[in-house]
Amino acid sequence: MTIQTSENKNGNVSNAQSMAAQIDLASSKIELDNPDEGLPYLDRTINRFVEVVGVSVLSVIVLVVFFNAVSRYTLNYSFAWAEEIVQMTMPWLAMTGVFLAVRRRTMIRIDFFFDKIPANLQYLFAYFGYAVNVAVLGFLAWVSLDFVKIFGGDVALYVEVPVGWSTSALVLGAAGAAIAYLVEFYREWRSRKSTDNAKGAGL
Amino acid sequence: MTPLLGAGLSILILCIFLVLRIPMLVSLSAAAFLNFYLSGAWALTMPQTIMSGLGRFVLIALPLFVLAGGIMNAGGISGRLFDFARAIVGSLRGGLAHVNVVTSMFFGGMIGSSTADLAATGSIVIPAMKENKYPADFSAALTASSSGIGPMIPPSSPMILYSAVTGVSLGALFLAGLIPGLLLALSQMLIIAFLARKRGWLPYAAFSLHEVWYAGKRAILSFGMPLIIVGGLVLGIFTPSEAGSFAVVYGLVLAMLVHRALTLSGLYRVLANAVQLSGELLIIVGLSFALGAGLTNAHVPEFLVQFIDLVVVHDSEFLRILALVLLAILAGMILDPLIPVLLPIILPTLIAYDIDLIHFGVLMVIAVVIGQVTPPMAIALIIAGKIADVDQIKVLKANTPFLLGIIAFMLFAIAVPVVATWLPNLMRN
Repeated sequence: MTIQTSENKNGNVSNAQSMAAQIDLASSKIELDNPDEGLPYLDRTINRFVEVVGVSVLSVIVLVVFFNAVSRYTLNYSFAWAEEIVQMTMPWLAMTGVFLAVRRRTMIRIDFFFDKIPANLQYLFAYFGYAVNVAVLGFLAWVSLDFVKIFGGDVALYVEVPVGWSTSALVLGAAGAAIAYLVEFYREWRSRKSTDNAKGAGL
Repeated sequence: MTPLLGAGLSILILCIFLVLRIPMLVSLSAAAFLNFYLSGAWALTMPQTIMSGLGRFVLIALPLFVLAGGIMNAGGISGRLFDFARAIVGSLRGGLAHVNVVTSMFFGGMIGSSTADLAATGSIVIPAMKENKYPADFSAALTASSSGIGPMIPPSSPMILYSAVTGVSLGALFLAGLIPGLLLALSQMLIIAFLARKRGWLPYAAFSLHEVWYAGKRAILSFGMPLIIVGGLVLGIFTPSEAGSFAVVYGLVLAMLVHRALTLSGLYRVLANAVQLSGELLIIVGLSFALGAGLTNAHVPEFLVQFIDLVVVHDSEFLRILALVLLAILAGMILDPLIPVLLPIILPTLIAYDIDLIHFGVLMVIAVVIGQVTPPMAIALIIAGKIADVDQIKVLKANTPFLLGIIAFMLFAIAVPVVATWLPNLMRN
């Protein structure tokens, strides 16, 4: 049997090794590219702020879980507050992730059927979508605020801070996502309006 | 209005919103709110259920495994895995296609994400396959199908979600997926071997023990990650979240100190990606608990049991599981993520039929994999088709042997549960 890609074995190996290097490059590009590159300063700052909160929360979770396990095995001692503190930070991790996903338009959704709608009608459905997003997330924020008002004063058993510190993530996250959709809707509406005006002026 | 009708309306709203491209999170929230409203429940139940869903300790493993996968992906392991796969199977007929499958299998054990595999490996391997005279549509179809092996092999995000919803041991689930994952890879390699002989595809590289040894040495440390995770869980050393944190630390040592491929600023970016990727999934799990609780109160699971008993006339567990799996496959063609949305609805039905939840967990993950390569969503086929620059319909046609293969494999896994349950039972004993 002959070998497919090169005339000799060494050539083939080096070809494959360069492919391996390219795969490494593509993998790190996926992980390391900054999704906010090219955005206006204010947008980048907002995203960066929320990102720092999320990264801090995730780092705390990793460190607490890791050192609690190490301490259990090496010192035969586990921190009673470890599980509670991780569970209390989870809503912050979730809601910062949601906010960033909304801002960067990576929310999980189905494009297939929408793409089948005639192009000149798509904007109407898109506007309807924005209205639903803002209404539902706004309502979730409002209901969550009620929840925090009623139960937020309860004190966590080991950490001894009000659980409202944890549950308020739901309020801020849902409200933040609703506002982000509102801003996106406004920008899209303005961009469409200016395009229509340009068309009307025969430009 | 009867509770069942209210539940039906909620599901209808969910479907309509999803079709209108409204995000999954918002669609689920709207459906859950409507269900609570129609059933006269307190609106505050919603945040309460979300918080209790988020509070499941096994769910903490999800961001940790996502982070560990991101660190490994950025840390220079992908190329090493590809090299090792090439050294092992590159000498077979249709070598590059085999390398594609084995790389995906290795990738699954490190990264746990089929999309990362597809986007990174696919973007390089598909053009290389085209250069090596493989048809473009076949290259795309194979890469899409082989990326589905990842979710079967631990650490697997769909399995973490399944464990969080059902409460089944994550260690047992990870073990249960191992043999089916390997068999799925083997079935794809058999299809390739058959096609290679028929179409005259040649080997990609000559076999050399020296190459296997050299590439193996370079890749060996990467295999420490699945060993830590599976070994730690199975031997009862770690809880799932602890296994995740050890995987993160192991990945950091490997990527930053051994491979020296990840800097501190790179680590920040990987952390930020993990926050964004896992955040939405976490909330979707919380919301699915809210919707699931509402639908259970409306007696939807009982209705589902009656419906299945009506359709499945014989008293056969195989047919009942088949009916539930078909439902999962149909839902999986549209829904992604499938497990947190569908499972809270069908879990009481599974319990009513006394179906082995570990066995069904593996079947659910296969349903997820099938959903990624079947229209209308077919996300894996779409990405691979774009990379290969081929029409989607052609990719779909070229994928027929692999799709038939995975469906046959699914039927086999339903009929022979021991494929999934043998390893967890062995370790339990």
